Amino acid sequence: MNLPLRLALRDLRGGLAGLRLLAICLFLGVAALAGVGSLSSAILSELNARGQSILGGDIQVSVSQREATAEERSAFEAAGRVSHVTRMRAMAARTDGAESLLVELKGVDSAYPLYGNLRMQPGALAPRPSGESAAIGPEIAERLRVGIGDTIRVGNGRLRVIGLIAEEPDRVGQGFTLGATVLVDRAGLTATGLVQPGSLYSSHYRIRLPAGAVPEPVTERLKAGF
Amino acid sequence: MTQDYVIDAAAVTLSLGSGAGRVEILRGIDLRIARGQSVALLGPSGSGKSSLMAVLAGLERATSGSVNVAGKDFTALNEDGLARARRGHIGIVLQAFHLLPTMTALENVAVPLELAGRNDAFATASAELEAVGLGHRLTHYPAQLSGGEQQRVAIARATAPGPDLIFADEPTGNLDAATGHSILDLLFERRTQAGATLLVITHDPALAARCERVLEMQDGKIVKDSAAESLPLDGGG
Repeated sequence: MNLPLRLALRDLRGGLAGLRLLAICLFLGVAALAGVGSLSSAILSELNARGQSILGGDIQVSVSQREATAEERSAFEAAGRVSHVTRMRAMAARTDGAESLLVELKGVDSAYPLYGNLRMQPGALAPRPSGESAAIGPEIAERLRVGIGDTIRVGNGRLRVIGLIAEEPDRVGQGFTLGATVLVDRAGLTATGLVQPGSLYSSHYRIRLPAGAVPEPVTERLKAGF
Repeated sequence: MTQDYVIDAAAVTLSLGSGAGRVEILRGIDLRIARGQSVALLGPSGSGKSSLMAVLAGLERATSGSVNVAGKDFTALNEDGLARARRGHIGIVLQAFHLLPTMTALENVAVPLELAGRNDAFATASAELEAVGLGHRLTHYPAQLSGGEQQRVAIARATAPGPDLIFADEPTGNLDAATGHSILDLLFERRTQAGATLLVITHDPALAARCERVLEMQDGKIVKDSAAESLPLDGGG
């Protein structure tokens, strides 16, 4: 038996009272590890169960400051059902100009969302926006002091608020955003006039693969092709 | 003729604290102790006796000055170096014994030998305890020993490694007069057997008289030295 161990065993003859602090530290350390492990496990479990909803599809292809070319779009559609989402930062304002706010402008197509559900809070005028209308996050309504049926300005567009967003399935998967969501369809996005050469926006093409399909080969094929 | 000094300290100062709270404990100590000499260190409380012993034993680092002990420059050593310098060369006996309560008498004496890597640690420890008259108490714990017996164990622990130097700080301070006398007899006998130099701190003039040399300290300085080759009465600093 080596010397440090021998000396330690002799010291233990005095009982374990002197190890109280060590025991407390061990307890706290184990509790912290267990807590982190539990949280991590819960997050991973949720991601596994709702990953497609959170991310908005099985595969996402993103391009910046442009839309996909026809060839690219064809390749996406050959793999599965495609939803096109455009995201950018914009300013939303009251029509009287009294208040304005930085928001996340999100233009979606009719296929959105590929997974999960887009829900409005009770009292909405429609289940989703179309044309020159928008669904907004409740925070925007509070900050701009607008309600359902009111009009807000976003870029050149005057958009009627048709509802307050209750559930936006891919919100978490977007990562860090600088503002709450103003959701419009493709026509509403065009009405704002904000998507033009030089604008800072990103185009996201989410692909829903056929049941049972594995994403990796599709991803490799798209990478190889483009 | 060149004298063999086991302790050679020059202009040693020790200050603790900072700013307005700084305390000058040792104020320029010059001290040489010849190998094999027995030295008593007298002085009132607060004169710096224990601090001087701590500096010479490598337990406290001098603020300034040079400290050479058993051929080693203590001021140039780090903590590990000082520990290695003490190991096997310096034995310390303290007033409160300071035995390890969870170890037997034999284990207490063996610890410095084990730390030095000696294969014969327990055999040597047993022999030392026999020499101090505790051969029948090897397996007893400090709590089972009287004060005098505990100090005997402490002496055995200090002398077992065969040190060049033995420092004793008030070794009989916690003992009654009779026990104290027997402890001192044992201490002097063991140091003679080991051929070690002895520096003992004491308030007892009778103990001091048993030593070959008596130093008196006051206010951090050595103010009197009975040695024939005495240093200047003014310790400087």
